[in-house]
Amino acid sequence: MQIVEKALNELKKAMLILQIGDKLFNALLIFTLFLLLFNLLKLKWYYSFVPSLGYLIGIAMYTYITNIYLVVEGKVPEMKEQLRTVADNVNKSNEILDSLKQDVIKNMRKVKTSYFMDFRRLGIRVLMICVLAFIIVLMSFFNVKFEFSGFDLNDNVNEIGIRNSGPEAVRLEYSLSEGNLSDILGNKSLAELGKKEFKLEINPLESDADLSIISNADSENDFSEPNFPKEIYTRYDVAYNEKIAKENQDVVRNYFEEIIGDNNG
Amino acid sequence: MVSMEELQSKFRALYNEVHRAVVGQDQVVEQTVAAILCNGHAYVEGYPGLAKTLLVKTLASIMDLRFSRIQGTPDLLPSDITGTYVIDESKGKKEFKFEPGPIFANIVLVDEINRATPKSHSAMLEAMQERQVTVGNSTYKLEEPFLVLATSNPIELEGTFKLSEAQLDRFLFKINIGYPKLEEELKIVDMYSEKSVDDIKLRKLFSKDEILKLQMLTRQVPVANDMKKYAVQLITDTRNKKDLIEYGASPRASIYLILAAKARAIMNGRKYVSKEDIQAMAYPVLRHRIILSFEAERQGITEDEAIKQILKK
Repeated sequence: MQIVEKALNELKKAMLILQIGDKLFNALLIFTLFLLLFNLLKLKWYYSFVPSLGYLIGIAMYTYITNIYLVVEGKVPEMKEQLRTVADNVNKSNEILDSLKQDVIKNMRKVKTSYFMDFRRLGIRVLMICVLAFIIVLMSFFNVKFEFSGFDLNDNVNEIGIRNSGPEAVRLEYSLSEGNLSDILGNKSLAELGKKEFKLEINPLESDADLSIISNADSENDFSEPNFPKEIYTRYDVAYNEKIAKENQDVVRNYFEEIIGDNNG
Repeated sequence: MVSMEELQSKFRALYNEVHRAVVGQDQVVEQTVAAILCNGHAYVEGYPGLAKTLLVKTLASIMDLRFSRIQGTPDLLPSDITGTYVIDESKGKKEFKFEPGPIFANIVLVDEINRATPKSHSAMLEAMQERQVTVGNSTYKLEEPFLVLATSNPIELEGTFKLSEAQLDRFLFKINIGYPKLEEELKIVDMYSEKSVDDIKLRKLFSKDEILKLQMLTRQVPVANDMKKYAVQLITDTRNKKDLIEYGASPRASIYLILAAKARAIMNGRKYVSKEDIQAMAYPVLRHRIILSFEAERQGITEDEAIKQILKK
């Protein structure tokens, strides 16, 4: 391997390490910022990984397509266009190119790591991370959260499928539960009551409830997250006219119509 | 090892020497020297009296190259260019002897090439392309370096034979020579009203071998991949910008653009091609290789303005 090739590889490696460090710092800042935001919005803390991972993937792709020598040339004008030329022609050899390689090696001594580190920017980012971390600690201590009446962001995130439901979880559409399952779930307005206090009076004479048996109220989860066994399913019932003899079907139909008529009347 | 500083100072001395005879026309001088370094040919367009012949003669003298001149006229025959067999009686018996034509020189100035007939054009262009001439059954190789500088006059087009696009494509550059500035013209008047051109004694700064070595070095100048991509993209853009250009440049233009950029780099004492080299050389390389669209011509856009717009993209 030629000296210039070694030097170029070393330069590339150093630049990559610097860039990775810099981008990780940015990712940490993004993570802290979103952690604060998601804490305020009562979202799960680990959602903050999504934007920072997205940033890291994006920046990795950008770094991959960016010519790293172009970055060096930007900071060291003496090497403008020379570094790229040598890097692209490293395996060739002729009088002019060899002379250019010598020049590049000479100029490489002028490349300093500090050229690529903006200490002011770095300091600002460290300060921002510290401030954000402090705010997060304070928020956790005082339990500061945004409340949205009747609206839970976590539910909405679940709806759009960000959180992976476990194998045991049963998803129920509320629109369905209102119609067919209200007997099991109870009235939805009660579920929305949440932690609010309400006064309930029962007349023992008009109720079948045994008031001697008193226990603590069920947790609110019973309303918020239905926990049905998986076996619950619906099927079409067999039509009555399939079991009744053909000659008696008219009699039975008339009988039911009369009952319905009586009830409505 | 090549010393670029040395080369650069030599080119500076060349320019100074040329400017002892030719006032101004810096770009024309630079492009003509670049054509020599690229071992290509140039088509010079300009009005009469703008020192086209003087420039070529001056360069030939400084570079110690053999110079010849062909005047394009409608009765010019191919044999007037290539040479012909004559009867030689010097040895006591009659025998045919090849008498080389004016094409057998290092720098050939074809004045008003568009006045010559297509038959003569074809003889000239064959020599330019193959660097050899065939007369009868014999083929004669032309001496290197070999540069043809063809001139044409943009006015007085009556009785002229326009070179086809395919013929123009053989020329590395189309050099536009314009009028000098006021101060330059005053200097010209001062210079040539007191003495004639022959009174100016020019130094020989380059030998023939040095020119050949420089031509070899020019081809050795390395080019970064993104510079190559930029040059090729420019050429491709000439084919895609249909609102401006009806017919764009061929891949030959890409080769010539890179080569010309290499020559400019070496003339400026650089061992690599920069973006400015490509941009500067795009004009002489492309201006005779593009055909403007009707809309562009209607708007009075010139080839140079079209190239400028492509470069701005």
